[in-house]
Amino acid sequence: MRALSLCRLALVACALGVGCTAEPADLPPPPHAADSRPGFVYASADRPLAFPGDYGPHPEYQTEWWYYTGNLRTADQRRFAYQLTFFRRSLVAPAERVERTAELASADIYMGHFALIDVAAAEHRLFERFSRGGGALAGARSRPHAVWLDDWKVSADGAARVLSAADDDVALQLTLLPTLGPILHGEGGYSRKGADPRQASHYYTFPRLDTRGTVEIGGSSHAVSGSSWMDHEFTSSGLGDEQIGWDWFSLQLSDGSALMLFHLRTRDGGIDAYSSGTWIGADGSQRHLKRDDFAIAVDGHWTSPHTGARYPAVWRIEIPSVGLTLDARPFVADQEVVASFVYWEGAVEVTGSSAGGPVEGVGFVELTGYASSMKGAF
Amino acid sequence: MLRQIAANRSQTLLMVAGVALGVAVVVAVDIANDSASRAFQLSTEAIAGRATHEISGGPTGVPVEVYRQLRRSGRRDAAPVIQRLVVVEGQPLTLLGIDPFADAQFRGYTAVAAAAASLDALLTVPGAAILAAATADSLGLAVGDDFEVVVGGISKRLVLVDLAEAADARTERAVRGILLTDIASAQELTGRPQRVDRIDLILDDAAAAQLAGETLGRGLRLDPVGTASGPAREMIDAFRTNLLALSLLALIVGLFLIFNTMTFSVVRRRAGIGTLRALGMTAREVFRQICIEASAIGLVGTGLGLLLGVALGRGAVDLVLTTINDIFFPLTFRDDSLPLLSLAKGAALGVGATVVAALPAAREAAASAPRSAMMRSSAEHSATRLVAAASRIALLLLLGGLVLFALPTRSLVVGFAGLFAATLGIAFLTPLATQGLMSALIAPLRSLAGSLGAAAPRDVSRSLSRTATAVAALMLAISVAIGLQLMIGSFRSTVAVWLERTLTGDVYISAPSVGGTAATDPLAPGVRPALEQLAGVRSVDFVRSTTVRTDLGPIRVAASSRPVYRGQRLYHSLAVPVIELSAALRAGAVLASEPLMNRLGIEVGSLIAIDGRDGPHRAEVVGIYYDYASSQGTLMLDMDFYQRLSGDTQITGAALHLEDPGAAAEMSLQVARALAPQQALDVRPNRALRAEVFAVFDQAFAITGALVILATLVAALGVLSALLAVQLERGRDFGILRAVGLTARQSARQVVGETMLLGAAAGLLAIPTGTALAYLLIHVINKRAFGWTLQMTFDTEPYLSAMGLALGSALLAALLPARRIAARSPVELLR
Amino acid sequence: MAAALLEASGLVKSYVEGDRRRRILDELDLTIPKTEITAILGESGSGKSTLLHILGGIDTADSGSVRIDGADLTRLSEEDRTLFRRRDLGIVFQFFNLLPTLTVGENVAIPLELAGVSPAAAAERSAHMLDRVGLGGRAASFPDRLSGGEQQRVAIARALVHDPAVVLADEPTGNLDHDTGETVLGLLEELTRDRGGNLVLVTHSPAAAAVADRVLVMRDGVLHHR
Repeated sequence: MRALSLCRLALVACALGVGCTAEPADLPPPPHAADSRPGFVYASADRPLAFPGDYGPHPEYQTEWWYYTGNLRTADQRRFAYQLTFFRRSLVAPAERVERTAELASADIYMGHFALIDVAAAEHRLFERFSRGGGALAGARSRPHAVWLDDWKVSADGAARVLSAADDDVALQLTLLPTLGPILHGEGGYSRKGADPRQASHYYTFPRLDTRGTVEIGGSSHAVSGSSWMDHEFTSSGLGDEQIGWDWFSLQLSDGSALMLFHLRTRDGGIDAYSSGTWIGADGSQRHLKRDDFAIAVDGHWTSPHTGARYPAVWRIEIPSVGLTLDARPFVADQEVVASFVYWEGAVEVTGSSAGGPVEGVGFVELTGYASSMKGAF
Repeated sequence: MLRQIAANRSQTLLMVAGVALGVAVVVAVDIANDSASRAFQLSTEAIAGRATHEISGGPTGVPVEVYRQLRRSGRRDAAPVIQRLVVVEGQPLTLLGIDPFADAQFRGYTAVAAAAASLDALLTVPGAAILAAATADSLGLAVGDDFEVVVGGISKRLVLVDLAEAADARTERAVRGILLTDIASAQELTGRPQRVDRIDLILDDAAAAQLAGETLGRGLRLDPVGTASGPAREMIDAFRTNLLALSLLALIVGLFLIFNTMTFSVVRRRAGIGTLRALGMTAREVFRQICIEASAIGLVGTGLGLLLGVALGRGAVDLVLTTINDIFFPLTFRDDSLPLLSLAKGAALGVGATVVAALPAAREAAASAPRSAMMRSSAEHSATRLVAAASRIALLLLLGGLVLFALPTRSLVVGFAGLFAATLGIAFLTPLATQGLMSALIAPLRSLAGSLGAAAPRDVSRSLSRTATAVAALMLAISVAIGLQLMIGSFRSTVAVWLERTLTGDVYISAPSVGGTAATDPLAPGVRPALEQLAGVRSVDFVRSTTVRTDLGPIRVAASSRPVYRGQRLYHSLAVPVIELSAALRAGAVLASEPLMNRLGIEVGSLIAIDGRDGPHRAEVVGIYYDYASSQGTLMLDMDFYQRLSGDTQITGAALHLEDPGAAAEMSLQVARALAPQQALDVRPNRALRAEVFAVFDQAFAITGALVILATLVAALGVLSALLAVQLERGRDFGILRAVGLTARQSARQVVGETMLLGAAAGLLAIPTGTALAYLLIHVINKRAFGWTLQMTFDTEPYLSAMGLALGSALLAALLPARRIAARSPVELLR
Repeated sequence: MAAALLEASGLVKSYVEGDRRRRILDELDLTIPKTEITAILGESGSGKSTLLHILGGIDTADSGSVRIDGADLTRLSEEDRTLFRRRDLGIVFQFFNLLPTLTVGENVAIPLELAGVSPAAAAERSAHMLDRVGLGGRAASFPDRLSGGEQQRVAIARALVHDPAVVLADEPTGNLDHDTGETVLGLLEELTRDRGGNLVLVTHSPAAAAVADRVLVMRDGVLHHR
């Protein structure tokens, strides 16, 4: 989900200098005031998701992203994790666009984040890119599905997705085969983020993709396999006034189930009522989790030497309704993404119990709104 | 001894003025040259940024597809660029269309644009532009204003979305000439939505070789950055060398003046120096004293010269930049910061040269034995010695000049060195020649004006040791005036003949060029059919002027629909008879202009590989023609062949042949009006075009003329200084004459007459010298600098005006001494 | 005493020396007759040369008058004084003062040419005059080829060639050895007597004064008879 990635794209805009100067916690303005840009469509419960059409881009929504994360291992159990994310932001709604003859004309900006985590070396390598959508330098399409930015790309190969990205001495070439999904969050993919019904996104997930391929780092190449998670979300609104950031979890458990949870943190230190989650059974069944259906307790913190931000680092998650108690901790403490905006996006390992039996797993956690040192940086 | 300076105030003032003028001229030219150099550097480097290579596709540009493939194959050190000269409110600017996401690593200052709050407007508003704050200010524009920009004669509207605030002074200067837009807006402005002008790259050599091998071809080319402006750079360097040489001339004339005055000041003070030596002053102390005096004069003169030079430099910068802009390379950048190096150079040169020029005098003073220094020197003896010594030096210099010219090189610097040696050699012959001339004048002057008439040339000869340097300096300045005027006159008449033969059309049509640079902006598509349908037109010729890539580097081409017309073009050499030329060109052969031949060392029969859309075409050069339109050289192609070769069907110019050539002016108006809705075009009747060519021509030589005048001024100061010196020495003679009955007026007349003899000597000697100089300028310097063969023509005007200049400056120089002689009583003069 | 030709009266001339004025001529009176050799003796710096210059119109007095043929030389313009010199004055200097770039003949011809005599006639008269001073063959020589005595003889020829009313000589032997001086002085006396003219001779040498009809001594700015 990364509902709150809304804010992130607002920040992307910030990074690009698109009309904002506030610090992350102040962003974005509430939906009703949110956008001076007219013509964008807001997420709505009345809009069902349909595939494969909705795998592609939605220029009528202001922001959109395709988000791939995964935990991988070599044959000798050496752990890697990766993140490959494509963000799209519309500068002008389709209805408002003027006819342009230039092939390079573009009303979309794309941003990419590519990270490879080498657990054994406790190394987190991150790359960031921007591009215009024009001239097909970056873009997305539904049939056959593809998303790309320069030579970072995701393309469809039948039901499989092929990911490739490289920069410097880090590269990734993976084939992802979904075993579950797409799972639609909220009400048929309409995922609420606030009191205003427009403060929402369309959000679906492939919670478990069998992954094979190679990763390269420091000049050596490793054959890897493992499991990936994919989110695709589009919206035209951002964080509410009182919302300052989020803690987001995507976990894959050994019993075949999966879990997506997010806490929206409020300015007064509380948890927003529209925080939610989805429990996904091994058979693909799903259960929507409301704010009160789960608890996330923080048992430890890590302070970034880069930004001075203090992030939660150990969590205990309890979901009584499905009998789950989980402890999550990062494979590597420093998985902070220091890019045009700062957040923490890291691979975690999970242990705990499910309906009395032991369970373990892996996943990703995203923490935003902690790097107050960002204040005034833009 | 500093009191000596005060005692000879007018002498000292003249020396100071001489140093000041010499330094001023050198500094002014240096400032102008430096400014030109930096303008060129800014105009090329600011735009190239950190790019090491560029992919270009000739006149049709580079398809976006090429860039896309580069990016999608992971080559991220690449950025698309569209670069054009455009005009906003009459001010030329460089339109730079860039991709803000790709450009930051190439041009730091475009990151300024990418970070601007207006990035989304830049991307999404067609025609959104960013200007430097100073530029916007000078155009009276504020953020949000829309304004007109003329791109290739076609008017478009842009909107100013932001101001670029540069982080540092250098960036600020770079940004000042730039009109920054998003690459997409630039595609739309240039009317080529699927193309960019080039792709900038940062590559090491291995990567460049690999890239050249794998992705290029199809009329694309990968070159190191700067290849395109290379020839222009050479031409500008040649132009600057010319200016530098002329400015050095002014300094040399100044040095003559200093040498002359210092020497005389020493001679005059011999008695005093002798006494001081007798009283125990050592030779070393005498030497040091003279050097200190010279340094004091040098310092004061240099200080004044620097001030004057900076003031003159401002004007010179304009002249030089305009000339470069008009003839060689469009400069939209300008750096008016004061080059401290120029000032330092001027200061070192001024003080150093003064001291060096005073050294002979100082040595002479120091070398004189106490007793002999007290005796009056024998004027005749020293004059004879001077003539002999100077003539020996002259011989050496002339021989040196001959050797330099004989060297098998095309180096302009060597050419100028030879020219300097030869000219100075002749200058050193001045005493001998003056002496001869004066001897010859005695008899005629005696019969004209009696004994006093006969005395005048004898006086001139006798005072040669004082005046020879001044005469030489004046001769030098005047011969340069003659030489340059003859050269310019020859140039002009050559160009006139060439224009007569080349401009056979009655009406010429082109897109307005920016700053006079040769038009390569295409005519709008509708222009050609409109012209072909005009009533009263016998025929229309079209031309496509552009730059193509070849194995010999980028070359300007003119693809003409009628490259050979009535056999009128003047050919240097031909491989086929003139009547077969048209057919040969239609089959893909080419003609090369003479400057191209000289620049590239090609000849008839050479093969040039011209990039075409299907790969290179090896074109045979079947003829070399004389051409003065471009000093870089031009390749002439048949238009049909060119279009097939390149796929470029645009045209940049048209020539109408009218049924009634007398109606050219009306037809021009009519055509301009009819085509105005499509494109604002320059439509000029033959005569107006010709006038424009000459206007640019004359403008190019304006600075040359100014330098010659300054050099002559310095020389006139030298004559004045020498005369004041002579007058001091000859006071007694005039006292005697006055005592025996010569009136004050008559003595003034005698002074003027004798000075005019000096002037006439300088003028007469300048005639052969100037002619030789013109010959060298035309056949050596011009050829080396620009590759043009000029027909040397002789006009009496340069000689007459030079003679006038010589006599005029002599007269001017005589006025003060004559007045002084007349104003003093006989008894004062006798004392 | 013969009739007065030149009459100077009340001549005053002073120079500033340092911070005080010194009167060189102090109300000086002098009358020069038409045909007489007058010697003015005086010590170096006594003002005798200054007096001579004023008499010749090449210098001016602060006050007083110099009358010649009734005209007051001191009241004439510079131009008119020059014309007077051209016509009526011959002058011989201590340092010969020949023009170095004129031949001997030309040096002598100059006063005639200035007076409007044609160059040809002037050359003829100059040659004649040079004969008189014993330098007939040297007309084409330049002065620097001549000895001091010869140069002074040329100067005498130049002073007399146009038959001036007044001839002034300023230490004519001052720069010559004794014997040459005698010869020159003798020549000067002879020529003056021959033409029946006058000569004002300024000298510090009593011996030179021996040729004079009248000897005056210059002392304290005025003339005293000896």
